[in-house]
Amino acid sequence: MEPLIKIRDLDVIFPIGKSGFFGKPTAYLQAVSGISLDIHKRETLGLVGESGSGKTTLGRAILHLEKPTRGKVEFHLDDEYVDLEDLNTKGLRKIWRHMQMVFQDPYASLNPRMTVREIIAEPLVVNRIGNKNGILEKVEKVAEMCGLQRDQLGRYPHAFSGGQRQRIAIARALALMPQFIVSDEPVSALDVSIQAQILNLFKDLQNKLGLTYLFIAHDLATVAHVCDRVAVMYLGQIVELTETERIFYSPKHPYTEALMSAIPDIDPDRKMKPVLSSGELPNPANPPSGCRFHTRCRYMEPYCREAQPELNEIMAGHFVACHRAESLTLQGAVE
Amino acid sequence: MNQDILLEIKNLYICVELDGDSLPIVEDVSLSLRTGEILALVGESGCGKSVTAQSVMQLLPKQLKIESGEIKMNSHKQGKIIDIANMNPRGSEIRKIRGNEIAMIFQEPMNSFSPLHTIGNQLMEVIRIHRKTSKSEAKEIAVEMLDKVGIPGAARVIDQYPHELSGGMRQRAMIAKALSCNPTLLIADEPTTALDVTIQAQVLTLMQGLQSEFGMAIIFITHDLGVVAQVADQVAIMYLGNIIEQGSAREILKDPKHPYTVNLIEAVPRLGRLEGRKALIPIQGSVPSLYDRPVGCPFVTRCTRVINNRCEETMPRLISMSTDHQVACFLYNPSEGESS
Repeated sequence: MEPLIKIRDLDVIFPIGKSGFFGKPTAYLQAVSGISLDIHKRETLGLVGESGSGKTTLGRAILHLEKPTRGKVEFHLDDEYVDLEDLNTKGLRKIWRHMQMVFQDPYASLNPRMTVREIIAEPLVVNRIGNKNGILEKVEKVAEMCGLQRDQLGRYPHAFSGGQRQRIAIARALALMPQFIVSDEPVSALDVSIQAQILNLFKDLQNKLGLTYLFIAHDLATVAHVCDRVAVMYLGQIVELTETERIFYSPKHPYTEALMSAIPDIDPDRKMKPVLSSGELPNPANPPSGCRFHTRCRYMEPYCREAQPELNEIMAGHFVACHRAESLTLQGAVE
Repeated sequence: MNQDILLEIKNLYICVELDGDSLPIVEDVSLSLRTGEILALVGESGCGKSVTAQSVMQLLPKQLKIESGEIKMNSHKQGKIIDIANMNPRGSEIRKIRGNEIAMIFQEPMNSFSPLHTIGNQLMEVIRIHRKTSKSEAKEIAVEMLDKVGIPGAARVIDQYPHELSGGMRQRAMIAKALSCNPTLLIADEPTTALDVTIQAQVLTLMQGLQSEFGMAIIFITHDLGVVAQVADQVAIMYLGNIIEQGSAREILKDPKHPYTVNLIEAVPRLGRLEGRKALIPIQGSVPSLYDRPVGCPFVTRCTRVINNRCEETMPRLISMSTDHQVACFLYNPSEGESS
């Protein structure tokens, strides 16, 4: 089956540090570097990594909310691929009807001076879809799908709790009936008991509407629960990509192993034994040579400092960027 | 008060003044903490866990006040038992305790450092307020503390400003500052919530190591049950200002009794239950606001096991399930409240 989105050799580079007010940038930060990825129809693809690894930038670059410096994003629409690069603002607006985003903080992403009805209707109004009655009908329909009651629609965001606000944000993203949604840490600002409600809502909507998600998160257990495949990012690159079960139980990249080992298990008898006992993410503006993970890797060999490993398919559907992927036996999360 | 008890909170009520009303946000909380023990205070936002901990240092925001109750501490440095609840929040008595016998660390380390002073000066300030040391001695202690919390190149870091450190390093520096006067009690308010898992694991390991080295007790405020399982000896689960279950962390996580605790554990996505990835079981609804606090059990509006005519009307008392496990729920106390 053709993928819904094809990403090829994507780079996003930010200029940082300037000499003087009108000066040229003195350094560059490569937030996303050479990423190629297919996102399949109706799948949930998880994107994990530490803060600063470029997850959010990749999500934004796929939608062209952030213009990629190099590389291609193609979106499958009406039996052909649209290259987002070729589109002007008007064209992008059109394609954004099919690609939407849900943000982390539902306290910041909703306009406090608009009623819930206005918030959910806004994408329809902006895109001039339907007349007034048609819009109102649609708003009520998506609001109901997202678990909001009709009598709540006249209220303002401040009257809602975090979980309810996230439902409003999801309803807004769904108003245009998109095929693809990037959700950037959609539950990390919510309380545990509410997180489960929102995660189930995501699943439920996917089943009903055939949605495709890119699910960005730093909470690995959440990712494990909702995603079909997971991509692990480190300093702007994908280091491992495969099905959820495989990534958690038989990881092939040392960084994935390190992430798994740091998850605090709710079972007091399973004490965690974190692999990365020291060290932090290196400065993304000045990434290490060779394999970018070599400064923290416990399996490091001298050649890892020299050559950058490529993302190879070591088994069907299992991609790893590590020189030693085939020879290492790594510990996954405990079952 | 028993000798090995460090802190004992009894029947603590904290109220908030809102539009002339006085609403309780912590109700009848009783806790005790032994020397060298880690107690986790767990609950969702607004449950009163931070406020309870702040009251132990008399650091409550202006609108809040301790209505009644005792906060007794066995002061090792003063060699007597003191009652913190009766102290003036601005008095000299509490100042001797804050930062000295009880120290606190926060979720966001940037808030506990001044951006205008070097890390070293800020550590030395704390040390020199509470200990009689010369400037150079204080500096030595500061370097030693930074070294102990695993900051590489402590002698250099001491002259740096907070913004020059990464998030994880700042967290470590804050821990160094908190521990520099050798407190007997450390209050940690969500110290790892803003960190990545890899760094969180490092900070948790560090805290456990320091805890056994310095022998202090820790009150660990968190909403993450995984963190509780990894570090806590004791746990108190709070809901709407009440402790609804408390006791041995191990026993409660393995065999939770209160429907809220049971639901909370079920709502957490876990790796061990990946097979088939069943839908999570969420807790319906959301936490009621202070104005709508139910009359009886605070959890009654979301509970799936309500006993009619009891839970709505009467607040269940904590009863013992075993020597180290108490729960406030009528399911386990069939006789109570029936006649009233």
